[in-house]
Amino acid sequence: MGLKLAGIMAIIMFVMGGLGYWYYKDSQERLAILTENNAKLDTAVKMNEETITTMQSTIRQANNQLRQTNDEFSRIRAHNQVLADKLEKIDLGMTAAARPETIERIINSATAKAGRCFELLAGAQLTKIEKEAKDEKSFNSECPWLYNNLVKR
Amino acid sequence: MRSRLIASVLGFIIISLSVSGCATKPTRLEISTKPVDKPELVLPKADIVRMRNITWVVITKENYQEQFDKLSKTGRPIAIFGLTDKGYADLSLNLSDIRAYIQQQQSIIAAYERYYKEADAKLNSAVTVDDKTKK
Repeated sequence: MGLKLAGIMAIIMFVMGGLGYWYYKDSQERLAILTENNAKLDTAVKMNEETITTMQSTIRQANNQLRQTNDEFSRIRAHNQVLADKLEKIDLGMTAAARPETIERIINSATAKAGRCFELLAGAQLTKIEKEAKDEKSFNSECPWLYNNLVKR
Repeated sequence: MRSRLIASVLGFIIISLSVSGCATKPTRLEISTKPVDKPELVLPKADIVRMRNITWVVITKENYQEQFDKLSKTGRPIAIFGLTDKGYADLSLNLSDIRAYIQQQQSIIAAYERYYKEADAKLNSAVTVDDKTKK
């Protein structure tokens, strides 16, 4: 009877030992996976934070470009208004009737200068006179604002 | 006595299994990112504009004969394409509008260029940071 009980106890101890060993190994493996997952999640969080920061910065850049372009549009509209104001101030018909040669000379010069503005906007090389222009008016009176972009730059 | 012992052993084994957890093992997470460079866009430059010379002739009641005589000396047929002062002003304003439009388009293109260059630089630096974070 005593031997039998000892045998049963030995079996129980063996099973218990096996279970303990299995439990230990399984827990360690689980811990390793969870630790690894934690590290990966940490990395993912950092990457997400970096992405959000980059996106916020990109939105700021887009807003800056929008503001800058709106400012440039305002300047261009103001430049475009200059000719309209000039034409409104003078009675071209009356002046031309009274002094046709003078007006002829003025409008031919203005047309040539306006044509040159288109060439400059399309990327034409500056002439020697344009390069050496001292101010906006002597550069081209039809598009004096290009002086700052093309000569002073 | 024996059956109680067997029941105790089996009960202990069942409880042990329950405590150790029959749940499945957690799966390993795999996160992978791979930035891809986009090919550079290469476009030709627009043609250079060469404006043709235009000569305006102002004709009034007083000088039309003189202008016609001048014109006939050039050998060109005597035909005048006329504009009133209002027509001339409108034509000038139309050209001015086109010039402003070209400038606005150039501003838009420049803004796109600036934006994409800055955005690319930011994204590149973000990818570098991400790579460092992964390591």
